[in-house]
Amino acid sequence: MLTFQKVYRILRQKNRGQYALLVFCDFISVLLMTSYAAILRSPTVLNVLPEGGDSRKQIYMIFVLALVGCAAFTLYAASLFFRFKSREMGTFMALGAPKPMLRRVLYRELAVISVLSCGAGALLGVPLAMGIWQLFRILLVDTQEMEFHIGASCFLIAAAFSAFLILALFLMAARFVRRTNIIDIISEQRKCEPVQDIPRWFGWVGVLLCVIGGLAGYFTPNFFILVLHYYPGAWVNITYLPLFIGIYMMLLHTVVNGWRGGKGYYKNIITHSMMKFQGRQTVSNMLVMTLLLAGSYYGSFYTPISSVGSLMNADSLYFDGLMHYRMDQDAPTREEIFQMAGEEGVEIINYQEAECALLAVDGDEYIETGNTWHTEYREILDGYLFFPESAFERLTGQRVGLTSGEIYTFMASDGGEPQFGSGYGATLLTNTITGEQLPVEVTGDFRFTEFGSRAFVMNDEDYARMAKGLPDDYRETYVGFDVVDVEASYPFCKRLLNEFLDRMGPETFRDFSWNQISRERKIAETGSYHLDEFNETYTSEKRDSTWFRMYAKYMPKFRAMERADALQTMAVFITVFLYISVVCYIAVVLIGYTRCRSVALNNRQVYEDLRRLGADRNYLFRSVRGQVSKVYFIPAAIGTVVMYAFMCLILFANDGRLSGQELVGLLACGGVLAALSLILWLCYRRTLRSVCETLSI
Amino acid sequence: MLTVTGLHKSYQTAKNTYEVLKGVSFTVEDGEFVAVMGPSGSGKTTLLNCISCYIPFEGGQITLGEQTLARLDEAELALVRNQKLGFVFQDFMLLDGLTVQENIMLPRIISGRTGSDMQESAERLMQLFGIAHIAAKYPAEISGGEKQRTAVARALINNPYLILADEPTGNLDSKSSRAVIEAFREAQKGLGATIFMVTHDSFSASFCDRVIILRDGTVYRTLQKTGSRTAFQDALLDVIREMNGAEE
Repeated sequence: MLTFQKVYRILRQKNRGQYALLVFCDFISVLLMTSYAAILRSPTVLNVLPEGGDSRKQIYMIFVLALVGCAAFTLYAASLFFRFKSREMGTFMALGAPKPMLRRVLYRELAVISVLSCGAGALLGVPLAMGIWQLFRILLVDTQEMEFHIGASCFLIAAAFSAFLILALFLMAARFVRRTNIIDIISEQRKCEPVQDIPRWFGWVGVLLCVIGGLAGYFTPNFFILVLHYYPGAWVNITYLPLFIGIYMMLLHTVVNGWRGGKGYYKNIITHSMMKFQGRQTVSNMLVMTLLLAGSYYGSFYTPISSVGSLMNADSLYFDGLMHYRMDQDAPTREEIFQMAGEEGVEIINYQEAECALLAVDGDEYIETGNTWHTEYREILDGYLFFPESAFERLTGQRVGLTSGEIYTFMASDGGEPQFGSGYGATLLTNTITGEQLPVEVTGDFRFTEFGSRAFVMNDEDYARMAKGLPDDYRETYVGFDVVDVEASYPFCKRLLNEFLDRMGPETFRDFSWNQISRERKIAETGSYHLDEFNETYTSEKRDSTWFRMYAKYMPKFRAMERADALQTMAVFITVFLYISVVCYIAVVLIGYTRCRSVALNNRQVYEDLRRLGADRNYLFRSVRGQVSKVYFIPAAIGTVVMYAFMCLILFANDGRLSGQELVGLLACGGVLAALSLILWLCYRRTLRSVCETLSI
Repeated sequence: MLTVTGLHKSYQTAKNTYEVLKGVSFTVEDGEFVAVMGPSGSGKTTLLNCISCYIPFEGGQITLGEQTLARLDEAELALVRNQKLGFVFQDFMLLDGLTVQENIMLPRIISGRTGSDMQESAERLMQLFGIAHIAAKYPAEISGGEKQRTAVARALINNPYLILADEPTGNLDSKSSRAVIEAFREAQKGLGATIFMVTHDSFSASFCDRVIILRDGTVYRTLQKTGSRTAFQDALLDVIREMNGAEE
């Protein structure tokens, strides 16, 4: 017996293509977001990416972008589904089907579709994340830190995202069934979504807004912090809004007016009108694609920028090997080092040692009160290492002839500020053991990347006076040496590193910025020292971790290891950024493909009519290519330009210039963009072929 | 059977309000075959959609038998559409995934009255309209005329009070149009159906018992057929010419 349920089932089977699209989009978006969340919430990643750090913020930012993109693309697929459904539902209503009956069958099938597709996506997302992570380990880089662990919270994110999609689907369904105008429902499928005519200035104003939004978004937080002494909350990111509005306006202008000022209007009239009459869908799809592509590019830039940075840093080191240690530690002696080198077949040349001492410098302390901050002068602010000029000359061969009260700070080798700022500003030195003080003036700087921002050079007599009475844990020795063959020195360096760390006491495994002078003052003032919280991060067992390698206080620097281990040191960072780049990129390709397929399906009749009007294959092909290429290339062009310009801005704004290292990094990013653009072009070709096949062109 | 009194309907765009029906009144008697004609924009289809309860209207009253349609709730309206009205659309509105026979049976399936007589009724109607040989075919496999005769059969399967047809021959060639009009005549004569048809085609309208001519949302003239079909068609054309002349 034929019942309504059976009729509905027959129709579902006949129209399975429409159901397949919805199922596919639901599945893919939950799959991608679950796998992203699996990476994001993995203890492997959380242990390496510092809480509140820029890397974690950036990854969350792209996650939100991908989340919005995937949600938008799934809801768009749902709206397409309801449009296809409208004729069927409208006919049922016209023939007197009561709404509760329609609601029942529609809700039942939506429940099955959404729960199964979202459930499958959520279940397979984690294995996908693990699989790709493992693939990266095999193909790119593998360290102990890279061992992948699952965090349970990723399932919560997957469940929340699935619940959102399912809820949105049911709300759309409820609104769909609640409509009363049957004629509107029936004609829904045929309805176009044209965009209103927009003035020609829209495009250029869009470009202007992009520039304003990018600059405002980047500099406004600094303006608040530096000028107004106020830490704005996350709301300050609203200043990026003009950027998004600008992108939208550019896309709108491109779809409605084009950039050629009416040239070739009649030649492209079919392509142009088709795109214009599905303008809202087209532009919203392109916007999501643009943002996701920008996110993907941002993620993909991390590897070249950090790798080039690490490699060039390694090249800019003055010594092939540099170690420093407190004098109360049992570090390898010169003889031991030479013996070890001999055993490893390495010839050491230019071996130098220099002593230095930990003295207090004065300066302004930043004090945060709620969201605001102010500075207060401290006679004893922080501890810095001071070389006597003669020892420094022995170590590096450089001498400027410092007079009493004159000190030199350090800048990076390329002239840029070191990572934690330069020491300009110090005016008073204090020996915190004897209380001896010396007024000083910073009169210049040496260019050595490896000494960072925590060291000065001073006059020999001043040094003798100020270092007098300091115990051994306030004195350090710097050892620098070169080797004949850097590339062959890796095993020796590795052995020396392990020997060195094995002999260091646990009290020396501290953060780069940690020092006892600052600690004592802080504990006296507030009862705690924030850098003590990181002591667990720097233990002998964690000597191969990213954090230890990058930020441990007494981590030796060996050129051979800096070069060879650059990728390993940054393994987790690189893999995470690469992963999110891949996820966003896949989402872009899927959205582009889905959009182009729907263009083909929606315009099948138009192409049939054009054929009847005498359009040849070339004309039809050009028309299809015009639409498909716009869907792919416009987001690609805007996403590429916006993100590349933004990356240049970030690097430039760091220190008001682009260093050689940054320029090479940007060049490498250009190479990555070229490779990704080539892949996108191949996807475009595949989509174009598929659309042409659908339209029998 | 059907009484329409002082019907008002307007459409609103972003800036303007267009009054499409301005107090239309008429009646259709039991067993009558009535057509509504008029130029584009005169309100023909809007009138039909109001009677079908597909779109709401602002003023006036529509009574079907004893029931005033505006007072019905959603469930009652669905019941009226299913039991008391039959619909024939210009673009057929057949479901592509169902066969001809399944499409015809759809109103019965929706109402849940799927007993053995459902199939018999469908077969009888298919025989009556000459489409029995395509019972198992899908809409994509049959001609426009056959599609519309399928739609007429579907409209009749629940023995409704009234069949509402919106430009049923609008998408058909003259031969198919004739076949569809013949199907309506069969329904009227053989089954006692009451038919209310919107058309712009004087040939199709000339088969009716009465033609209501609309102009600018009001009833311009009502013509009753008294003589032969051709004489009625001539009379219709005269009125249309007169109306067009008045407009010029």
